[in-house]
Amino acid sequence: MTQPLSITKDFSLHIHATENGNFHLTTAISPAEQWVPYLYIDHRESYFGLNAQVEDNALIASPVELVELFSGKNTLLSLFPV
Amino acid sequence: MNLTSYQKLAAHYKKYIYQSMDMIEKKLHPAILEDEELVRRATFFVRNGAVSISNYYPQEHKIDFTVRDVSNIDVSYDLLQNRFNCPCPMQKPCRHIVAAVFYLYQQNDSLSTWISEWRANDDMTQLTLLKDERSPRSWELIVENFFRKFISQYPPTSFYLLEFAVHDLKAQIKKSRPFEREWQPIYDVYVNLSILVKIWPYLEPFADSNMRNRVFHFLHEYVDELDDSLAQLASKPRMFAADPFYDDMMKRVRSFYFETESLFRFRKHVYLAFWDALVTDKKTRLEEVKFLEQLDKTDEDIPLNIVLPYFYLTLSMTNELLAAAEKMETEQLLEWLEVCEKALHTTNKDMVNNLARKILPHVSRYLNEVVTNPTRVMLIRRLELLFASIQLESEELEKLYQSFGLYGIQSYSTLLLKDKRYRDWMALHQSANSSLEYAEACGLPVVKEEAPEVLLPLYHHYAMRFIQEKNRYSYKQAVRIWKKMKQVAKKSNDTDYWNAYVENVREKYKRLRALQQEIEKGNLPL
Repeated sequence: MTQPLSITKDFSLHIHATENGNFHLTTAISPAEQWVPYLYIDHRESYFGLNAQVEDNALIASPVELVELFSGKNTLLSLFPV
Repeated sequence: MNLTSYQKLAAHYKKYIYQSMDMIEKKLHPAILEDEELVRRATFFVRNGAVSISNYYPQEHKIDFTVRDVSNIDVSYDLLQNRFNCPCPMQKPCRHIVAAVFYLYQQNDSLSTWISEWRANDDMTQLTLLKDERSPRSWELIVENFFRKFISQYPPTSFYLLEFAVHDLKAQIKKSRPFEREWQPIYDVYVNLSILVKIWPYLEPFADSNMRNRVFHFLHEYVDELDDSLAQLASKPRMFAADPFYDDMMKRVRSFYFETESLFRFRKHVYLAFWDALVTDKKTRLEEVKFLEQLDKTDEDIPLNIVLPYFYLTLSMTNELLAAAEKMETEQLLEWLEVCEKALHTTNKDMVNNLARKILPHVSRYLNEVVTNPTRVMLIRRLELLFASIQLESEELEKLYQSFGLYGIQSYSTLLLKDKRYRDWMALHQSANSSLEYAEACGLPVVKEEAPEVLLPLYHHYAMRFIQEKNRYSYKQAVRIWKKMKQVAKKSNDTDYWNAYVENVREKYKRLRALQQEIEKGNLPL
């Protein structure tokens, strides 16, 4: 209740490549069901995250998806490497 | 001790005894029946040998007395401090204390003479005559008389009783209201203030009890009434003959504000209201400013000179005002907000503009760290109104609304729509997790008209929220939302995309039979 309003969301993501060439994304801040929709808010290709693959509180995304998500087309998303 | 030693004792402390006698003379009035009776009884004690000295502490200059009343009462008298201690519950000075002082006094002087002088002191012997004499003192006596009768002789044990007592007290005092119209408003203000100051010590303890809200309510009403009488008084031409009343009231208001404690906000309000209504000349105000600028007394952690900005404002001391605003502390935002609101009513726009901008940097921290929840909603509304009335840049407004938290969604939405930032509008509602109904109230129809494609993710978000609830009723709601989404898709020429979307939804939730049925019924594809 006492948090300020914001359009943007800040959270840190841990991204690892998996053996089959996909990427494994996790964050400690909130469960995947919560942050994944924010990530996919502009992603028409996966129907706004409908087809996003969530396993064990982690998002499994293909390289294409990652490029699409973080390509900068999505103005709400920006990456800051830690 | 023998008799002469009592006389010696009394002679030794003569000066202090006279002081106490003066105090008695000042506090007791022969025209008030209770006072008259008290003095009579005290004299009776002294004359009948009911008072005796039981102890004398020369080092501490203290004397203990025993007064034979219904039971023995032990009174102790601190001569140098003019302080007494009597265990009886009556209002002080009580008859025991008076008897003790009389006892010492009559060792050297004639008590009878003193009493007859005291009685003759005021030629008005009846209270009924008091109201005809117009002086602050006689009005004060009227209030004092009833105040004793209703309140101080039997201190109310509960706040409700106090409220009743105040009500009766007012009704009685009203009977002495002058007949001349021009005097009535002054009388109203005078007695209301006088009562307020007198009941303050009785209110205080209740304000810390579970009656807190009741006390606040009572005070709100009381102060409102006082404001009304003040407005009445201020609207009438001022009479020369009333000057002593004005001076007396201002003296009381100042001591009420500067010297009493607790419930600071009400005291401040009363103080400012009186300054506004009763003081017209600049010189007096400037003197008060000087006084306030040097004052560093605080109450409830609020410095008492927090009222300075109001003086700057009425005196049009713009530079001082802005300089003070520059130094404001976040905790005092509310006070400054009030100053701004007042400025909004009185001075020019530029002034308010400059002043409100000084507040702006503090809003976020104040709302999110200082203020507690119940008062926030109202406060946010007031801030919103204030900043709506001055010219702020879009970015400044955006920051402001963001600091409002969930309460700022509506204003923020309006701002985003005004700037045609439809995508941000959608993101805001998704991120704030607001309901579809709320989004509709916040301008969803506008977005639908201007940029329908933007709404697809938002509708999707709402539908998903319902599906997660996993029951048929929620599925129905989800389908209802999809139908709206369908309209939007049609409008933005996304027919193919929509059909594919529906296909994907059905595919993903093919195991939810009830949902499948609802989708079927809803005839979703275009």
